[in-house]
Parts: sequence; C-alpha cells; structure tokens
Amino acid sequence: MIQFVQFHGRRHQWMGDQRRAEAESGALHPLARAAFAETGDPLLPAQTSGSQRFLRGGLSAPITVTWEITAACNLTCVHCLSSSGKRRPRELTTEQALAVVDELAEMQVFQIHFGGGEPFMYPGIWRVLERCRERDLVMCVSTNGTLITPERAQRLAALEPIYFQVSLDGATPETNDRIRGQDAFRRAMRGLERLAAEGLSLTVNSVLTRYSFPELDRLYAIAGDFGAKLRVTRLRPSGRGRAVWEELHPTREQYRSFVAWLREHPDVLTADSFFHLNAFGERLAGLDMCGAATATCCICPEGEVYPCAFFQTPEFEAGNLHEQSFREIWRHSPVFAFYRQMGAGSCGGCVHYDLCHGGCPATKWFVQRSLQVRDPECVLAGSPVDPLHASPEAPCSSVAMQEDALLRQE
Amino acid sequence: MTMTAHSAGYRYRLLPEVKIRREAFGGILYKYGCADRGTLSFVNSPRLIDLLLLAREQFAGDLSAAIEQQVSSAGAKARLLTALDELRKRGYLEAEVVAGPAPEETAAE
Ligand code: SF4
Ligand code: SF4
Repeated sequence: MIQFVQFHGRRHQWMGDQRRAEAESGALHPLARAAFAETGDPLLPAQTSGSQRFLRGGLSAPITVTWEITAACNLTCVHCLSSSGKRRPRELTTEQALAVVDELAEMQVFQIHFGGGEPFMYPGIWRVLERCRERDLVMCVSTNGTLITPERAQRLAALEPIYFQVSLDGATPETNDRIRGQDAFRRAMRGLERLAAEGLSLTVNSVLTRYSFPELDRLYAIAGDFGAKLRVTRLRPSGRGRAVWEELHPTREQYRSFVAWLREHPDVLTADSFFHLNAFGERLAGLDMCGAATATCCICPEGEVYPCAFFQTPEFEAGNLHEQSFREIWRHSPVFAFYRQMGAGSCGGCVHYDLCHGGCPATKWFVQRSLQVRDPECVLAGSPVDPLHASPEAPCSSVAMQEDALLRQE
Repeated sequence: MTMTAHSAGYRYRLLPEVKIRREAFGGILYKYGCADRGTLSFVNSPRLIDLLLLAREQFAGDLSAAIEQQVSSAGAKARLLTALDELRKRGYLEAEVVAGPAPEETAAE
C-alpha cells in the first residue's frame, strides 16, 4: 500500500528533468519519440495528485526491480509476457548478475522480484539469491512451482526473508492447464505443498482471465489451504499474451463484479495492477498509476532494461547492461526520462483521470500502438457516462478503440 | 519549561526492518514483502528523514534519544513528535508508553 506523509509542500526538479529529456531525445527510437510526443505536454505539478507528485519527479532508484533472469522455461504458457521457452544466447552470466545485485544494493533499491522464464532454470540462481540476502535486498521469486523439490524448498528456507509467488491461472486443472499446459496444475500444487511445508512466505499468483474469473472463490480457498495469500493480477497483451488477449481478457461486467469481490476479500493482493478499474468510482488499495520507469523497471535476460516487465519491445528499450551500468540507464535513459514526463493524451479530458491516470501504457501500446489513447479496457468507454465521447453502443474492445484512435487523428 | 522527546507519552523506536532512502523531496520509507500488503511512504520532509537515519546510525533506532540530543527548540520537537506519531500509526515505529510527564512539561508550546 502506498502512503503519503506530507509535512510541508516542496517543489520537484520538474523543469530540469524535462530539459534533460529534450536534450537526450535524439537517442530515442523514432516510434517511441512519436508516441511520447502524441501524449502532449507533461502535467504541471499543480495538475498532479497523490503518488504522481512524487513519482513523476523521478526517484534516485527504483523501489522494486523486476528481473527476468532467464528466458528458459519448462512450460509454455499461452499468455507468457516474455515469450519464454529457451535460454537466450546473451543471457547475463552469474558473475554479471552478481555485479548487478551489488549495484542495485548500492543504489538502495528495496526489492528485487525475480521472474523469467522460470528462475530456477537459471544456473546461477542460488548464488544470486544468496548475494541478495547478503546485501539485505528483499527477494520475491515468481515461479511456476514445478521445479520445487523438497531439498530445494529446504535450501530456500535458509534464505528467509524471501517471498514466493506460485502461478495458478485457474482453480481447476481444466482452466489452469488450458493456459499453462498439460499437468501444470498438479505440479504447481505440489510445489506449493513443498514450499508451505517449509513455512515459506507464499502467495498464489493468478492472472485474471474471463475463464478464471468464475473460479476466484476456489482460488482463494486453495491459497488459504497453503497458508498463502491470493494475488490476482491483470492480463496484459505483451509477449505471447498479445495473441490471446482478445480472447482471454475479462469482460467489463466481470471487472465490475471483480471490484465487488475485492471489496469482500480485502486480504487479496493485486500488485496494484487494476487501477484502471478505479474509474468505476471506487479507489482500490495501492498505487493508482503506472509505476513503470519511476517506482519500478525490468531487467531482461540478455541485460535489456525496460520500463516494466510488460513493456518488452525494442522501441522502449532503455538500455542494456552489457553496455551500460544500471545506474546510468536509470538516470540518463531517454526512454525513462520521456516516460516520466508523459502527458495525459486523450485522457486529459476525463473527469476520472485522477482515479485511473489513463490506465496501463503497455496495454495501450500493444493493443493500439499508441500511448495517447485511453486504456483499451477503460471501463467507461462506450458506456452512457463515457467521459470522452458518448457512444453507448460501442463495445469496450480493442477494435472499438482502434476506430476511436483513427477518428481522433482525422 | 522543558519539553522532553517523550512528553507525548511514548518513546519511539524505529523498527529494524524498515528501510529508508533519501530523495530530493525528502525520502521514502519501506516495509514490504510481496506476501503482505506492504507499506511504502513518501515523506516530503528531509529533516524527518535525517532524523530517522541519525537515530538508526547513532542511537540504535531510539528516536526519542535522537531528538533529545539533537533538537533544542520546543516547537521543532513538538512537530517531530507529531510526525513520529503518524509514522507509528503507519507501522514503521514502535512506541513504548512512558510514565506520564510531569505537569509542567505538558504545555511547552
Ligand atoms: S506499463 Fe502497465 S503493466 Fe507496466 S507498470 Fe505501467 S501500468 Fe503496470
Ligand atoms: S478515459 Fe482514460 S482516464 Fe478516463 S476512465 Fe478511461 S482510461 Fe481512465
């Protein structure tokens, strides 16, 4: 939960950041430059509220770094955000990875969230986790759970405090395995049992789809059986997820019911990923805006750094750890500088902007190749109270939104 | 009249697991784990952040002792104590109730 403690007003280095971003704009990919430009002028400090005021000024380091440490994975989930499967040729060596841990610790990053691929397929994973422990970095590991043996669970227990997220995208083998592959449900449950047997701190991580939505109660019960919390996250159309997003993403009515369900289950975590649903009128707990490039960013297997794990695309590559230090990328990448100064785009006219801040830029980009449009899952699009333009019959789908974008260009 | 750093009735101690980072606007407090709904606060008072860091580095986390030694103005002490009480409510500090202050210490402001 993000909280604010304000004792007196203070101004940010707003204009300095903007000037720097302008100076560095030459290094931006042309598609990224055009996409950022379309979003319009950065908001003035007086137009920002809540977390935005602090984050848009830029932090000295991320709060959490997501680190996709390998692309190797023994499963082939249909919605994998990083299209994982095989190890990639330029993956960081263990020695390079250890140096990155040291650098993140020196920058006072608070938490590293390891994912992949399957982190336990990275040969140096134990040394990397041990180094994080030595450097007092909070570790969180997202795993498919299938490679957790009793011996590994025991070894992990020695690294506490360490947090695990085991993925289950349905409460039944039918629903889960349709997404995550044959037998994935049984093997993930076995991994959960083994981690729970060691008393490790667990969450069951579940991507919300239109098929898993009816199973939320059962997922909640499964998590409870392992002494775990349920963490439900938003499906984004990145990686292989692009091909299945249209089919799998929840309907607006499901989202509406989901908000009510969350209200009844306040202990369910959401990774702050559903803030676009705030526009229904009820503010969900947590960050109410995109934290990419400000509170978080993502390191990918071959050293690429992106604004977030769901924004892995060459246009928005902020730098590469084979060529630059993490610190340099965080402080001087034009992608990050522009990202932090993004305007509100077409959402600038929305009375709910304060609640949803335009939604998820990665989803916008992968669905519509634009950052200036509203979130493709904007809960108000086409509704009788559509804040941007009334079109009651228009469905809330990417197709409708593409038309909307075209109309606006004319 | 004097005002002690625990005149509000508490002796404040920074929890060891809380992480603190300076930022241009002040700093960030973080107490987190992905199994919990963690806490993260942006604090726009560099002075408060300095005090928290000082208490950790030189007073083993004892904020009341840090205030006693470092802050002389009664007004500044009172403001810091109000801020510390806010941080206590947000779960970053523990507070030990101390014996009630002598009557002449209560109305320093
Ligand atoms: S781009 Fe989207 S997925 Fe990435 S941090 Fe922002 S809101 Fe979240
Ligand atoms: S129009 Fe934009 S700001 Fe308004 S609710 Fe939709 S996505 Fe959010």
